Amino acid sequence: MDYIKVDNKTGGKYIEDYRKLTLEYSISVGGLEKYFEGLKNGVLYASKCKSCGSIYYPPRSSCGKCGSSDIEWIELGKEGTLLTFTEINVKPATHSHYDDYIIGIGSFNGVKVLGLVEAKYDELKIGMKIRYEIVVREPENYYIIVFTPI
Amino acid sequence: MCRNVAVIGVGSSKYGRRTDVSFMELAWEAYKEALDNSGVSPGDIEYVVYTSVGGYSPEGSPAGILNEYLELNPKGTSRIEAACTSGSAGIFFAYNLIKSGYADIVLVLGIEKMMESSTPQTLELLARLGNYFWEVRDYGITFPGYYALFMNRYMAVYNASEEDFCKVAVKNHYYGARNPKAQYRREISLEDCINSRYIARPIKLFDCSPITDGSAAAILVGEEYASKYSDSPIWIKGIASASASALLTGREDYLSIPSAYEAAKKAYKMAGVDDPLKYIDVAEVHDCFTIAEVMAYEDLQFAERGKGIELIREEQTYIGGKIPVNLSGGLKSKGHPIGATGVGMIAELVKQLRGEVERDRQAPIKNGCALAHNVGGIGQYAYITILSLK
Repeated sequence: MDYIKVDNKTGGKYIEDYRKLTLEYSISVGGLEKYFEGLKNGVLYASKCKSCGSIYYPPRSSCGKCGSSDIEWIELGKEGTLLTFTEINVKPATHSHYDDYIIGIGSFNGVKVLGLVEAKYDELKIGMKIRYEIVVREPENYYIIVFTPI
Repeated sequence: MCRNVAVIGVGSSKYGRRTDVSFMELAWEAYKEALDNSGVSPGDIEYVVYTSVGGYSPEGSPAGILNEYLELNPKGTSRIEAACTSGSAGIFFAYNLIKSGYADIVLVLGIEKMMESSTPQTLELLARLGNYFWEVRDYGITFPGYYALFMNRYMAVYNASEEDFCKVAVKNHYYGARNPKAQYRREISLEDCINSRYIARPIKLFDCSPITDGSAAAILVGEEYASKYSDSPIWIKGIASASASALLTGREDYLSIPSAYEAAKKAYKMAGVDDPLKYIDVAEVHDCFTIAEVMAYEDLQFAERGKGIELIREEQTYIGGKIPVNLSGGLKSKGHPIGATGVGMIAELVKQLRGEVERDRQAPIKNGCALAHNVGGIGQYAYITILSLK
């Protein structure tokens, strides 16, 4: 075993850390259960403040603008406009098992939503009409918003 | 107290793949240089601000162990984090410690040793500087990805090309090649950039700043101490911070960094700068990606909206142009050790104003005024600092 290793690019010496750390979290959803229930049923919700009318996406359970906690859930229309997009070619560690994927931002009645885009990169144009659906992404089996050109 | 604040000493390690030094030794390089050119002795320092994002190397709380290694105990200390603006936030904090009268002499030391992580781990940690819960976890966006969303939209709205953006990379490598402390000391051609592979399309490898190990230091003092230690103190004339939505979906558009625009307006007002092109001799801007430098031109009002791309097309940000930008090589070529970057900008500009950088990358100093533009995340943090000889 090489205890002290050599970085061939610089000649610098290093010891590979023999302690490995995996970070795992249980992430609280707070008052947003309805949103995640919606995803299971194929419905995308934003939150709307009953007091001042502010709409939030992603949703939140209190209104940052007027301070009210009186919230209603509104379903976003399925059709919108593609504002911008990119294809992720070099992936972060936790997404390295996917093929290159396209991410876009869509506007649905003025509410901006981030989603995966199901299309060829060269077919996409900023300003084009898109629709969203909620699908289960393998292999983690989580719900994700997917845009497709209309 | 209304006393003014000056920078009297700066230092920087060589940036790059610094597997030849330990974390502590990397910090030492910047500290030693700043100490030597400030004339301050360690005992004079009253508070130490470390700036580091952390996670890229394994130490969980770097301020304590660094203060010990630099023999600065029992001076008070803390670590400041504001993503890629951590360094500027540290300068801001030190400035205000002195302004308030709490301390007269403060050291700011920024450090990031990113090469102790693998590239996928680093990309993951960088991406998590955005909103993990809503945008990173499910969609796997990366830092180049964030800026690619801006670049695609900028190209569509203002009719710019990928080749236009590569001109930023060519310029910054031109100057980085002349900076002995830069990570990439070589020029690149337009073709090198255009032909490089996509990282987050349309952002290519040569549109990106690299992963970097580096440290930078600055020693700030109250005005009564400036002339005691230094013949050429550099005054902080304006320093301002602003914020914007970390969520991509919280932005009005994807053509500018609104926090940088807000912070610049505040800093210009504080420094009495009405027309930046008239007053500022040289600027360091946050070119983490080439699109970021172009948006900086506009957010700093060097160019009107949509016209930033023309500044680089016309080579107006080279020495001899309207305003020289990133003569250090910028994040692109000098490197981007994220927690040190903001301090490194100040170190570079202090040397520029003193006429101490290599001759072929020295800006002509006419008004004695320089600007640092530092953006964190995709603009959830922004800091603008205006330095002056007077």
